[in-house]
Amino acid sequence: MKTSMLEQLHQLTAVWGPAGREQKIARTLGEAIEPFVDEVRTDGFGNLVAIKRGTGGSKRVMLTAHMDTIGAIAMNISDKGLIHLEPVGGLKAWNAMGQRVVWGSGAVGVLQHESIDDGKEISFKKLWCDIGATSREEALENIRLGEMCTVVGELQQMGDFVTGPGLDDRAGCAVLLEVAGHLEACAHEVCFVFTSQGETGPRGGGTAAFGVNPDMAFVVDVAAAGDVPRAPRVDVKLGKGPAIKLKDGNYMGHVGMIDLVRRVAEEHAIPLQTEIAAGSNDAQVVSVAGQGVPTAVIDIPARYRGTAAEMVSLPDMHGAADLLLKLLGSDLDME
Amino acid sequence: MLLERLSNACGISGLEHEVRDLLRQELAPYVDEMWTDAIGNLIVRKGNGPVKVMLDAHTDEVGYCVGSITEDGYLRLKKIGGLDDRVLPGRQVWVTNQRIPAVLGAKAWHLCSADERGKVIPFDQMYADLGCKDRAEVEELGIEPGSPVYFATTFEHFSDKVVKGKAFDDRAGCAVLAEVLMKHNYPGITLYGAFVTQEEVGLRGARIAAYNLNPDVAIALEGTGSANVAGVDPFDTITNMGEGPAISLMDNSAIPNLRVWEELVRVAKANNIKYQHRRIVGGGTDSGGISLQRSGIPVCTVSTPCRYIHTHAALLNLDDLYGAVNLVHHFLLSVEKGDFRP
Amino acid sequence: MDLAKHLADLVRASSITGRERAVANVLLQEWAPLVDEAKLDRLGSYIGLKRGEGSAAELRSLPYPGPETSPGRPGARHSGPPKIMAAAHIDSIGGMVTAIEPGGFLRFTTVGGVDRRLLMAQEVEVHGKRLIPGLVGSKPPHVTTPEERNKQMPVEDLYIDTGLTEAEVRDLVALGDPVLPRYEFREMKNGRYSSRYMDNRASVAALRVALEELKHLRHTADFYAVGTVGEEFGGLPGAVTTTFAIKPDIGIAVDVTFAKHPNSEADSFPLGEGPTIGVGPNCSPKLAKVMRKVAEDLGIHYSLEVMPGSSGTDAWGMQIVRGGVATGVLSIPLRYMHTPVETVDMADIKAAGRLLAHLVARVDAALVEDMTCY
Repeated sequence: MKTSMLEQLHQLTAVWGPAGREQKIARTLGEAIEPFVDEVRTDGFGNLVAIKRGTGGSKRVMLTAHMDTIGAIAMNISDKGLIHLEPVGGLKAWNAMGQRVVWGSGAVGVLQHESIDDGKEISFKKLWCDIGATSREEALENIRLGEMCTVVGELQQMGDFVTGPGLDDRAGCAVLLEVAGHLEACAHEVCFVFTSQGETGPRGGGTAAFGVNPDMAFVVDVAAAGDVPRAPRVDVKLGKGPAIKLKDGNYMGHVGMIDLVRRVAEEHAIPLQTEIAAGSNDAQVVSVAGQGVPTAVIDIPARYRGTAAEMVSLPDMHGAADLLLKLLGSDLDME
Repeated sequence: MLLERLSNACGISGLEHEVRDLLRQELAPYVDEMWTDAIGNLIVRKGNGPVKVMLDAHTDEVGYCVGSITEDGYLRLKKIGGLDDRVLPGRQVWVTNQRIPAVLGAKAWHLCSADERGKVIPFDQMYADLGCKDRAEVEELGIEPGSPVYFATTFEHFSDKVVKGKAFDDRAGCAVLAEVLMKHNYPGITLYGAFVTQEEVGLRGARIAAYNLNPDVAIALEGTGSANVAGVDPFDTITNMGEGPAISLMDNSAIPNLRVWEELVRVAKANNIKYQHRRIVGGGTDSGGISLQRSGIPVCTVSTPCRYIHTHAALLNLDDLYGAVNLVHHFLLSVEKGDFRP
Repeated sequence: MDLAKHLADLVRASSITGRERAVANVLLQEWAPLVDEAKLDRLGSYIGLKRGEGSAAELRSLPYPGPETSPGRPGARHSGPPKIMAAAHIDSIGGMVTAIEPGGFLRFTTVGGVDRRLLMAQEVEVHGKRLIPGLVGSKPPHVTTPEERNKQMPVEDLYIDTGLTEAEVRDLVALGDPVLPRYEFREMKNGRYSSRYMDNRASVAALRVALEELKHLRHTADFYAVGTVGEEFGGLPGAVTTTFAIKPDIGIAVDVTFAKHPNSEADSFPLGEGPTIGVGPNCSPKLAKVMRKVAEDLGIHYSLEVMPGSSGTDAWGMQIVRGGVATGVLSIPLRYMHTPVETVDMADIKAAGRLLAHLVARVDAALVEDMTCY
């Protein structure tokens, strides 16, 4: 019985897994995708690779989404049992303040900040996690230095939209699972790759691509939408479909791949936005692996990235999955 | 003492030959094979066992090189690696591996305005003075653009345990690696000692070594900052000199492989080895270059705490250094016994 | 060979990072008589192969398989002739259309290190369905405050005015279309030439010179003349992927460096007094020594360029690919880098090309082995 993408997203966003600590989410993804592929393995970097063999000896295609989320790491514990942290990935102190978190050990806590007069003072140096311990020794019974925590929050649906922490990039992972679940016989060999440390670096994509050695790759990530006050100046909105990325902070989109994606989207009347942004994702490291991998980024528009309440549109996610399925059903020839 | 000779040896990033030659000579009786590669890494192999372990330490130190020679015979400098400008004025240096003495001068205090006295002298105003009269005399000494310039620091003991010297980052790591290679055999392991180059300019040599060796697991051995000194909040000390080797938590270049990290901690506890953690994310180590090679290599960094690294003279506690040797040794025993597989 | 005409053809072709096809096509066509075979790789880099004597190398064998053991290790097998690769990046900085606004005004972003001080009022060409001239516009002076006039405007606040209607613009221009500076290719005094994109077409021309010179030289090494994509932005994708495929023993990055002019004396070199040879961690000292010897033997004047970290060229990416490559940097002095009036001296281009050709001729198995022998 196939799980709906929304159910899949509920499941995925509930699994703990900041950068470098993806064992649990890798297991969940591995179990979810296993019925639909021929081989599942983990590489030396911790990336999860699931391969569905092709029928027609055609191309080897890599689809990738990163399975880690942002979080924070314990660096010092005070005599009072308060844990001092540094961010893992782009977690900002002002988004971390006041949030409930869960640690790898299962312990729960809250992130709080010294009282402030001026918003400019907000920084991780003045933030701590309180797990209810009254001394350093007591804290160490539950947390060790190097332990990580992530912000908790249950996924909530609001009509066509969903909100919660970690949609970056569990939404991308859900899209990949959806594609795997609906991909019937395909001429191409499809490698579903869930990368490690997409939020720090990004790092995993390059090692994954080295091992997989694909002919081409599609990266599915979330993109900052520009449709709220003082958002980045990007012409990407929620609910208008996935976005093809032309450029970001360290990656130039491969022209042949962009044209291919646009052609297929147009052929199947899938609304597709165009994105030129800052930031970075696995595309750069994937594209420079080996002799080079023509790579396209298909982004899911998202508001409020990096917060406890990120927001994406379910139809956009379906559009991304649909587009990938149509691409895989095509000959994938670039002009 | 090997650390003494390593610390006194000179080798900025890209010109590590003196350090390489010293290590080659020291290690020859203890290893089965030795070779170098295109970036000057010195790789040694000991044993032929089924599990491949790479221990990494970098041979380069931060320092300066000659940018240009003025008509009057002064040397304008460029920095190799990250250095604090405040440690330069009034410093003695050696130019080239011949160690031609020079000084980094500063305008007499008496002649400075009140404003100048309060400021750090900008690096582009620094220069080295050999005492030469003109450019020709400098060139006759064999000095040219690119020639290395080192801190003229000689190793010494401050006490039985605490020693002073330059380049403990990463001659401390090299000493730890050399000691491990010299003291024990591990027949169940193919042990590679990778004395790599150019860490200070971007983790360069380590990437190449790791790609070539493709080990099952690796440990990077570093010298890291330590600031348990007057006026520093206990949370900001990074590591505490005297409290044992430091196992990294996370840095700018890498998140240690969790299984390797956990095994190092387990082995330290099981063998009563005093250890601590490196409590800062800033900075990078060779783990960052190693972890990304091929399909990924499990790796973690173990560091010897050093006060005042990246200056002309650092301090370290030999107990910490030998603690690192001990920790690595027991980790290797665990790998050999089959207790741990990455 | 009319080198000036070749250079003029090269700068006319549009090739911002990521859209280098036009220049690659010029090379495929113009260099065909100079190489044994050529192709474009997956990311669009040009790879031309000039085989050494007796070599049976073929580009369809790329990517060459890895070594069984580390290069330099006793017993490491190196099959086939020595390989030397020279990389000159074929991409250039520019702009990219990011939005079409009411009234037909175009918003754009920069690609690579564009000198923002020069953007205001710059004449540009938008490469849409056809080449569209435009002006980079902004609020006229009488509606700007004194503070605004003293600062550079952020790129986000600039726009391109093509004079066309919004309907015409929407028909002709798409998001992502390249924006290039309008320019004139000018011959100046003393064999100097000024144009946009001398960074890095001057180096591409030097590679051409090397290929021409190699027609008259015997060489055992296979020479790969590579026009790399993506040097100006994006983490050197062309450099690392072509090096991975070719697996050369020696890699030379040919790029441009700063030439002296008023207000630019430090870290700058005289125009017309030969190329520079790189020194520093990114440049194998053994290889630099060989390059200097070749220059001295040919009577080519050169300067040493000290680069204490990254060379800022393709060599930074090439050096650490796979098991490592002995890299060198050969640079052509250029005034006014990243402006539409970049100026170079033809004599420097020719000297660089000659040096490179004679270096190729000097590469043999013994020299290559020495590169890993420390």
